[in-house]
Amino acid sequence: MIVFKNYFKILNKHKGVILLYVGILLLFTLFSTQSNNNTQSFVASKPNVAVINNDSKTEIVNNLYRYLEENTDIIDIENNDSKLNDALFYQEIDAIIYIYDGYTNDYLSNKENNLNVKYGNTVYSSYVDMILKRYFKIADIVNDDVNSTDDIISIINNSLKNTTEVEIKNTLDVDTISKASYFFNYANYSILAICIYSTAIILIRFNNKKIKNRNNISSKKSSSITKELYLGNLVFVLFVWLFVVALSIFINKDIMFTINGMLLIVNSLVFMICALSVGFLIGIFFNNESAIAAAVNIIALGTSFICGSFIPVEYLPNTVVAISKVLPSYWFIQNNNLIKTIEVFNYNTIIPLIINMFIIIIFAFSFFMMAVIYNKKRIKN
Amino acid sequence: MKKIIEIKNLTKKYKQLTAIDNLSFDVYENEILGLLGPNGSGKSTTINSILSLLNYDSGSIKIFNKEMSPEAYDIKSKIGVVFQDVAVFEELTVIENIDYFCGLYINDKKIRKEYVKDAIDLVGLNEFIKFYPKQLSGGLLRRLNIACGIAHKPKVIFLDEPTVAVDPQSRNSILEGIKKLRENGATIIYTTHYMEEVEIICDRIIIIDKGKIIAKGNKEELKKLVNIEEKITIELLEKLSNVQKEKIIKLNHVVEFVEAEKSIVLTYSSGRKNLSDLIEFMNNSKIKYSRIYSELPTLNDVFLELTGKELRD
Ligand SMILES: Nc1ncnc2c1ncn2[C@@H]1O[C@H](COP(=O)(O)OP(=O)(O)OP(=O)(O)O)[C@@H](O)[C@H]1O
Ligand SMILES: [Mg+2]
Repeated sequence: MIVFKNYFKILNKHKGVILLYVGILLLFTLFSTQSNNNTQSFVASKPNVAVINNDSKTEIVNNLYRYLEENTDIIDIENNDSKLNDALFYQEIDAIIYIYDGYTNDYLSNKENNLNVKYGNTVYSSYVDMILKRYFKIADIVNDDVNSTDDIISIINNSLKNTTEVEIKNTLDVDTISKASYFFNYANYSILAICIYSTAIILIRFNNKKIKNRNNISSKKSSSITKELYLGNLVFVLFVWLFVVALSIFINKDIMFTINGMLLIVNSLVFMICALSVGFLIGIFFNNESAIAAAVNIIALGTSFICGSFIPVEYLPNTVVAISKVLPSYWFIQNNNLIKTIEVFNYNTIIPLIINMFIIIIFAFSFFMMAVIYNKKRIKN
Repeated sequence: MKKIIEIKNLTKKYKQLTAIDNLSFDVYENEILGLLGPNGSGKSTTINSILSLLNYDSGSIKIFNKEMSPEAYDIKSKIGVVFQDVAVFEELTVIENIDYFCGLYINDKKIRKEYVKDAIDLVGLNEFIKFYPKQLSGGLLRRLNIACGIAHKPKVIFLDEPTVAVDPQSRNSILEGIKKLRENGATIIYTTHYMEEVEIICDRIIIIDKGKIIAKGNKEELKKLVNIEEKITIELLEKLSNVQKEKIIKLNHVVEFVEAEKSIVLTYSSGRKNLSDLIEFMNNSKIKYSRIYSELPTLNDVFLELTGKELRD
């Protein structure tokens, strides 16, 4: 295992640079706890909705209205399509709820219990969805065996009261998980920097033609040299990942052990593998230290800026967002943002996460392939 | 004598350039074989082909009676190589570097520790074991390069120009080290373009030029190839007259007369008492001179004779 050991000996001599990246991570961690304070009050505030009632003001409709008043801020907007859409676009509201003509009848005759809702692009849009789902879930059950409208309404309201406490606890979780999610968004820089730097620097050393000749002429099999190098690489990156995870647990405590927290951790592991592949590519393409340092800064810092690590994508120009979509960091950060909003885990909420992770893995795979192909070409020459 | 390496009809081309051309030679147990040739003559290409680090076009290479190949790990375990270019890790100290390269061969930590110490002693780097390569002078770096190549106590050692651009002190230490390695039983293949080194340490010499062997043998055998016994230089205090010149040229065994501004060089083809004859002649003719000295032929003369050009560029 002499090569494996040597991997860490060499890396040890670069600990200054690596510790710098760790230091930056700690600094960002501080930011993430800071920004969390802002978002906590923000998330706790109710989503803004517009309600367009095309039905008559029945008791059923009024009750829904009261429920929405309690759980959202109903904004008064003229019933005009373009005005409503503008409000949605400029994020004055998070959703438009349409109560169609005949909704009450449909509900009472047990036909339809759903409303047409137009969601905006904000984090709170899904919150609106959650609020509505909670109401309809209860309303559905009640409607099955009760006939008088008054009874239905009083049972709905009582059931809601009982579930409200659970929901409040849930919304608190949303706040804390968003803090954790910010942590991982900020970690984009350090994960990339550390993985790229450590992988590339070792690759450069061992791919140096003179060193390679020495390794090749030795009685140690070249396949076992390569294996030990990869093992060293993998162990180091896993160690870095564990460090990041440990830090996230230290900062965010219990929330990391919820499904949301675990998903954030898994997402970071997938991204780590991708960062490793980027390091591979850089290490094969460049052959000196300063080029690597430059590449690290451009990639780690660049992606952090344009993929929404520092500034949420909502605030970035559309062209920038379009560009950032061809970078794995975008999908990593998208996933972090998505994970913090998920309250109910089912096929529909999990699939987008898996798709994003899959995209990251495709990136990783193509980077590895590019590195391998380029390396083969180089050896031929 | 036991053959350790057997090379037959080795040819290596780089595109149109034939870097080595149908080379055949053997290396015998415990000898120091010198591969002497000017820059670009194909010494490194020869060594790297023998070691299977390069794909060669044709020929066969046997080491310890077995076909050499990139997968011949049993052969490789008995070989040590000191490459022409220094190849060490800049992040590792002297002792860490030697330990790493030795560790590619020797797994046992205890034995390795001993071997590394022996290598450090051999090249005389004891005071520098905690130094990083960047902190070493050129000569010390070369010594480290050698230590990394031979620490695992190989039976056969290839040294590719280990003394290039090295101060005299380091050079002597390196040459002494090579002699010691041979005393300890190693067989050594030594390439250089310094003929003096070859004359000092090699038992047998192969002179190559443009990828071809142009002569081989020990130094006495090689020197017999040239038609010179000695060269005598006279540093003059006055100009020679034409008559005096004619007389000198007609002296016994003189085959060449070269005149410089204040000296002349006479080349003799044979004869045992040329110098004393010449001194007698100078004294009798009352020619004033400051110095007169005789040189025996060198390998450079051999090379000059065979190729019509100087060994040194
Ligand atoms: N990779 C290569 N591609 C093309 N030509 C090469 C390559 N390596 C060496 N050569 C050429 O092959 C010839 C022999 O080179 P080689 O390095 O073997 O000579 P050498 O005797 O070791 O010289 P030196 O004393 O400079 O080390 C030279 O003409 C050189 O230019
Ligand atoms: Mg050479």
